[in-house]
Amino acid sequence: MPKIAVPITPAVLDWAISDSGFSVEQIAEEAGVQLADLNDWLGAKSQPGVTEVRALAHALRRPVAALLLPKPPDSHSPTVGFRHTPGVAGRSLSPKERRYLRKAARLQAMLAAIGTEMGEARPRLPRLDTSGDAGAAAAQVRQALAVPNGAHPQWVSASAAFDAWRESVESLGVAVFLFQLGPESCRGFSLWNDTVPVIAVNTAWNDEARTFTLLHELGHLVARTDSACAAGEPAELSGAWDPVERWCEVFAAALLIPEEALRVAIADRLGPGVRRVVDVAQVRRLATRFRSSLRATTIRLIELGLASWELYRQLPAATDAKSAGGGGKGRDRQEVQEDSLGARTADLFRRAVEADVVTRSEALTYLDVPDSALDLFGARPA
Amino acid sequence: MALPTWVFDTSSLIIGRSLFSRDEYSAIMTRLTKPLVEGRLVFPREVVAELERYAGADKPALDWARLHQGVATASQPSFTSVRDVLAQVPEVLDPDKEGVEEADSYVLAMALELLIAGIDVRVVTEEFKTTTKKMPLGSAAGFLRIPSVSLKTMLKFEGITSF
Repeated sequence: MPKIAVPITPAVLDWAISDSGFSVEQIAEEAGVQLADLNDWLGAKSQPGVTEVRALAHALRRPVAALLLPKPPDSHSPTVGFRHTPGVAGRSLSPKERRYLRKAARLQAMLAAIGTEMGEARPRLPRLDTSGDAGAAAAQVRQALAVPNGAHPQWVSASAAFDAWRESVESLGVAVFLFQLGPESCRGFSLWNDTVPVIAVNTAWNDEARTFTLLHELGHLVARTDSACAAGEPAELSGAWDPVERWCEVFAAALLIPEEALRVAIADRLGPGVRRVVDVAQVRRLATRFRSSLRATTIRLIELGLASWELYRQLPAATDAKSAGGGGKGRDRQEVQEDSLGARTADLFRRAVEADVVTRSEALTYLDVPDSALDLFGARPA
Repeated sequence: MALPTWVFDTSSLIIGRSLFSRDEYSAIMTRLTKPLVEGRLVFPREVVAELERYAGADKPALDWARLHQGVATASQPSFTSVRDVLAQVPEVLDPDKEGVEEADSYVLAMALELLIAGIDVRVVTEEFKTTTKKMPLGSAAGFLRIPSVSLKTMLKFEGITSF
């Protein structure tokens, strides 16, 4: 049987490869096609067959039909700054980061359209300048979150703490996604939008680190500085900080660990006479109190003059790594998606379907859940 | 008046489960077999793929679509027709959607091929409302001079349920 040639548009293929962040060589390898063939398709010298075009579409994470468009779409992947702590090499966004940014932006556009049509309240997030005091900004946001500056909740686990912080942030009108970006990718990213701002948190690290990332990205939303953020190992800390990144680190640490509560914890857990925290074991005891990462706790101590940067550099490598073992709980697709997309997204879609703002099938394709799960989506207690 | 050929979109097969009880919908699917074997009810393979992803555990439409896939998708549209559809209504496609292939442009291509062959055709879809930048299937069909109706309308004219 002769090969069916698929009439792709070379300019669209070129755009899709460029937008993916992969090189032509990488896409050829990823799709399992000959580089010479791919170059011929790009140069309109020949056309791929059905199997080849499906492999290309899969590698590019695009529909096959996208490659049949007459010209590249007007919309492009969102632009965010890649920011990092000192010691991390500057780089452009990886293909995986680009893919998840595109996924988040697609969801955000739909959530914003739904929110507008349903008359949802605008996000209750102040706009603050990063030239201002990050600690004061954190206190202001704590008020918006209705988390008292003095009393600090005692969570039974770091996982419970993350869930509580996520719920609080979502209550401000922010959609919080959890994405499996992997340890080689950024810790998280933020995308501002006047109706539904978005934070994505990489699940590659433990709950304490996720909480810090969540609040760090909240800092970027408050500062309206869309970013994808990476953090290096503490021992690698050297060189100058990106001032916006530094502001968000301090903001997140202050939001997570209020000064008054920290001073009480130092007295309770390290002894009433302790004026400075000097070793990692002490940091660990304080971090347990706040269900915060060692990094966040140390940054807060340094900002308050209670520790030095030397202590930060002493923090163990892979301090934010997840504990080994455990494994999955055998969750179904609904549970996985609900956890990934968060309560705000689930709630908005469920109400939008009820109000006939979106069709069931449209909601299913965005949420990627089976029809039988849609009515339960977002309706179960956390 | 002779009844048209219906080209089904996934949305109309999905919504049936919320419009009717399971038993009613199973009975409706059984009655839809008649126009299907007569060659008056068709859908592209991408509709079956979407049903497989989204129909869920309680799935009379998917079971029915799988059972009759060979007949219903016999006139699978060519990629050239899909390209021709997208040349006119590119906004019907969401180029950022990952995962299972979106059926819309294939439904339109199938309907267009039948229309060009002189067949009286209707697209059956629930997608008429514009929410994002993506053009609803019903609007795109209208631009291509292909009439479109909802499942309830189709069922009424086939004499399967009242409107």
